[in-house]
Amino acid sequence: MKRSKDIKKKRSFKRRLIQLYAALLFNAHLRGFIEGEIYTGKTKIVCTPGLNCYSCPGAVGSCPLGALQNALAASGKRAGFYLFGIMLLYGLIFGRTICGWLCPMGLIQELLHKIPTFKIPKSRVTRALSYLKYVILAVFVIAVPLWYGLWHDLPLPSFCKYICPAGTLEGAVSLISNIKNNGFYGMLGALFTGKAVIMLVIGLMCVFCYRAFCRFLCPLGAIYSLFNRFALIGVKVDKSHCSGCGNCVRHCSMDIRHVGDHECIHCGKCMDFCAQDAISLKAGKITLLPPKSDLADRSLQSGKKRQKIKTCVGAAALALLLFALIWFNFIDPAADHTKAELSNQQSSAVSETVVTGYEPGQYLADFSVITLDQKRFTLSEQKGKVVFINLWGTYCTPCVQELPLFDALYREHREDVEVIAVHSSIITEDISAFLSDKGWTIPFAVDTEDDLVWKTVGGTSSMPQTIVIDPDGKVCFNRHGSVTKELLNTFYQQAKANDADT
Amino acid sequence: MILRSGLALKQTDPMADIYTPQALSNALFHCLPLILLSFALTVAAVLMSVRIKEKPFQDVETVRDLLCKKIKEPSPLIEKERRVQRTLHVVGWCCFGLCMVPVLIYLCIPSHFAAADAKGLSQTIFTLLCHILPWTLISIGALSVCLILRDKSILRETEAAREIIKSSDRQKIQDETALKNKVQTSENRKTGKGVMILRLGILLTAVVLIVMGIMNGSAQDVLNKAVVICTECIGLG
Repeated sequence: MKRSKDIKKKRSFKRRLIQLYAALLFNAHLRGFIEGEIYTGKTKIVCTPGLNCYSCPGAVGSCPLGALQNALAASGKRAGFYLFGIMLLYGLIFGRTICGWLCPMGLIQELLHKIPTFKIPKSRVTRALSYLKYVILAVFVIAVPLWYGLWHDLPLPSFCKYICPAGTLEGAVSLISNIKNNGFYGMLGALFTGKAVIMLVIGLMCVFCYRAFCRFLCPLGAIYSLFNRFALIGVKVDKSHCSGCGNCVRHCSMDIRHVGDHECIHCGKCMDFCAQDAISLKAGKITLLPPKSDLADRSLQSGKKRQKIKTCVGAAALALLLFALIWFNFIDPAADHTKAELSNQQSSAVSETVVTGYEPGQYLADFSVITLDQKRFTLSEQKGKVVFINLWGTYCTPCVQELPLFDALYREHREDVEVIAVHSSIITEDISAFLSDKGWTIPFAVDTEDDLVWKTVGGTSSMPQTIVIDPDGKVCFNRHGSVTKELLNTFYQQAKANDADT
Repeated sequence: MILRSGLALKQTDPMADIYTPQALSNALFHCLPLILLSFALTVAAVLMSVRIKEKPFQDVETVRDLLCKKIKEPSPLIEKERRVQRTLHVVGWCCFGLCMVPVLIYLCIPSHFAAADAKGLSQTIFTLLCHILPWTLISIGALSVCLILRDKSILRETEAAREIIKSSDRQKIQDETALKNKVQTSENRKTGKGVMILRLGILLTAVVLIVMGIMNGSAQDVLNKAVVICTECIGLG
């Protein structure tokens, strides 16, 4: 009895350790939390198996759900074969084992559930409610991004934007809690309020109901559940030993009908309650976690061999984690976020009276870009006019939505306003073709490969960004986030007033 | 509260921020006692090895299956209950499906997704929720009711099965059970081969799709999107 309790403790400790390991590996860019910047390296081409927002400062991979929505939104331009292939591969190999062992959101939910309160038991109602995640998958992950992508050419990851608590917690909270990102506060509004409320409600639900988000709302779990029956790794029942007592289903916290069905997250809890020891965690024919009787009866020879394999795998995993931590924090050039700061320091204090930089009150350093209609835009030639510099991208929804406002402002104040919309050096499609049917008159340019404009104006990996220069060449405003018509008019009025004062 | 006061301030001064570090710190300060209490309770529970005992789920289906395995010929009452269960199963899923039809119809009409500006988008999503939420709740409600009624029928079937077993010949029951187990083993072998073929097919498809994705640029799209903070995705904006 005592031995089986020890085995049970060891098993749950192992699973917790693997969950923590996965969370740390997927968020190995720890310096991002200190510097308030996300990782921009090449490893983000790979999706993490679990739900881990790519706007998290520590994330070193992409979120599969966010990437899926973006792939669907871009369906009009190209088919998202890569993403579909990745999801098929993860589903085939792991199925919902990802939910039980590798998902950072799953770990957070289980930790919240540890808070000692009364717990809502599972029932037929919770089982029916578990189908809600398929509706969320169909509507917010597939339909809405697809329709807006096809009919409006507008990238709209609606699940990420309106619902996902991982984005709010890992992305927003992590970024705005850093002092260096005080500029982000201007972007917080009704959307943040709604998402924060959703995050708190889901958090509360997880305290009272085991893995409430995973069971009822997570569309990624819904996708992986389609592969659960034939996934390679998972909890398997040896039917020759199974007596059909149903202890496994009775003690499982998920809404399963039998072990390994679409609701099973392969956590292995049922192994502790199976009196026939018919359940084990397997990868194909290889047993990863044997039933407890096998552990007790194993011969000394096979026990030593198993221990050797475990030690080797553990050492390899630890080495990988250490390598990731060192690489993503110290060696990888993409992890070095000091370059943007350096450009500001280098350009500042050119003379004793004139301080150049991109902060309000400083004079912006001169730059020159070639617009899409092959004209040269030089900042110093715009003296005497209020200049609006907008940093944008075709794949950025709020950027595309606010461009008509800049166009309207430009048309209204043509004689004393100049606007330049600079696209990021990261290009995903033909920008001229994108703009061809829009009818906008503002000049558009693409930033150089070495991000000249981005560095000059203090651009970061967050878009959109608006920089307003008064007629004297001084920066009036440098603001992250989308703007409204009223805000643009206020910028214009204040920039004119600044000039009148000087 | 912060949103309301922030929006009121924004009416007079468009430059004002709705959320400021001070406002958020104040709000957090008010919640701090609750957060600290939860944390302290959790640590105490872990240190004292307090186990929250969750009641085992009453899985009536497994109990019914165990009993019915032993019965050679089900009684008319058991047959009747099985028909009721099949009907309820079909009715439950039909209700779910029927309730999803208005949702699908709504999603398929392009005019419902006409607005592309910021305000229009919020309105569109709000309208979408107002249309699909009631149908979703009704479908889940109907499914829950059918599942609960099916449980009651299973309980009646279980009782009937118990009555039969009490009065039946022991020898006949054991032979039947052994026969059913043999049949199950040969069925397992057939499904094993089918699963292998399916896995190989999916693996090949996945590899081909990944290669095609790298070639057609969709892999680069994933990277391009991931290296830029999606401000609206995380609620900033």
